[in-house]
Amino acid sequence: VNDSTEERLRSALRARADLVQTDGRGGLEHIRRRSARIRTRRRAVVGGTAVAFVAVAAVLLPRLGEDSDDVNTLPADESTTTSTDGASQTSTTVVADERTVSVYWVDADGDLRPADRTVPLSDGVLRGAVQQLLLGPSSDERDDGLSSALDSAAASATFDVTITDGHAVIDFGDDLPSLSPGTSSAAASEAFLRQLHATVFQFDTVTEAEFIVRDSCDFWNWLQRGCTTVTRDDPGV
Amino acid sequence: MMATMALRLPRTRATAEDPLATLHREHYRSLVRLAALLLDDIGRSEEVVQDAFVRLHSRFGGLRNVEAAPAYLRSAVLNGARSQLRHRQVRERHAAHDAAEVMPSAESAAITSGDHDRVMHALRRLPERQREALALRYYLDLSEAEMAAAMGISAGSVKTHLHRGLAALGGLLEEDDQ
Repeated sequence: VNDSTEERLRSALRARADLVQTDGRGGLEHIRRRSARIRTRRRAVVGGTAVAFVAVAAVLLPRLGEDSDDVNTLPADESTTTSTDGASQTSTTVVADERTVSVYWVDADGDLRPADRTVPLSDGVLRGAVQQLLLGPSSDERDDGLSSALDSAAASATFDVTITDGHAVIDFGDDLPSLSPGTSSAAASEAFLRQLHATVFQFDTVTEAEFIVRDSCDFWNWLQRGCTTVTRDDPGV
Repeated sequence: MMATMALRLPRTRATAEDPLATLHREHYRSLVRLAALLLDDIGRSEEVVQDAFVRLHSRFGGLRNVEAAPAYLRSAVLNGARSQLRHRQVRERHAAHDAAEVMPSAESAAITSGDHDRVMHALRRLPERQREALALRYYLDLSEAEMAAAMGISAGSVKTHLHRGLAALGGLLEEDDQ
């Protein structure tokens, strides 16, 4: 019965597909034009963001103004904080150079548990959070039953982070799959995606994210999953 | 203690004369047909496939990894087709279906055999994932690993969807044949 069904299905699909007449000659140019428009808009956004950042940094964050590369790694909800110097009885406004972020580990029940980490603003908070995720849980956290789906060797993995108009790109080096082969199993890959998703989307300014390995879908190939862009509501698992 | 954080790593340069044109020539038509088999709507299918190509070209910096592109395109087309089907379900709740855009046309009905129509009708009654698995296997002839990458699921789940889909399709055809 199955053989017969297979044959009938194959025949029907091919016959029906043959009826689909599509003229792809104009399609290629249409694709190029649309792609070019998107790239132009992105460049404009990046350029505008860079100009705005430099202007703001020159006024508020002179210590960060020297490193314009961080424009892509500082979510727009970054804010300065103030503190009061009680000893001198004078109120002094200072610029915070660190921020507490969350990284997410997996507990014994398979649920995500946040852990606080302090990261330098100069590196960008998203970059800092991802770095902490790669480093893994502390020994105390491990004693508490928390773990990461990444192998410990992943701590030395390279990566790059950019944010453009809410679109975050976490571009891992091609060393990550070989440093963490255990993550490619079905259960571990799902856990890692949930950890990464929670860590990245803790920042309100991130609306969607691409996880890639050297500009390619090799990230998803490593996890044996289809290449996709994840959103706040869809972690891609 | 500190992880090595690379700034932009040097990227591999594309060496093909025009990878987008090659991909378009080799995959555009079959992807439109795949989408049409799932959507029964050629216009929407072309939109879905064009969107997939645009996303690929604009987001992955000029197709630097051409080898991975077909898998990405198939996955994007399946996602786009799913999205279109969900939009259609919403539209159909509020308005009569626009039969003019939808396959099969009168021409196709005349050309295809009655058995093909019965098979396609039965296929449309299957759950989304089973329908996708059967189309990927029996139209595109993909391996289980390629199907898993396209569908974003494990190879084991692919086998399950294929097995159940084929069994369900066989059951529906048997009912219809009787």
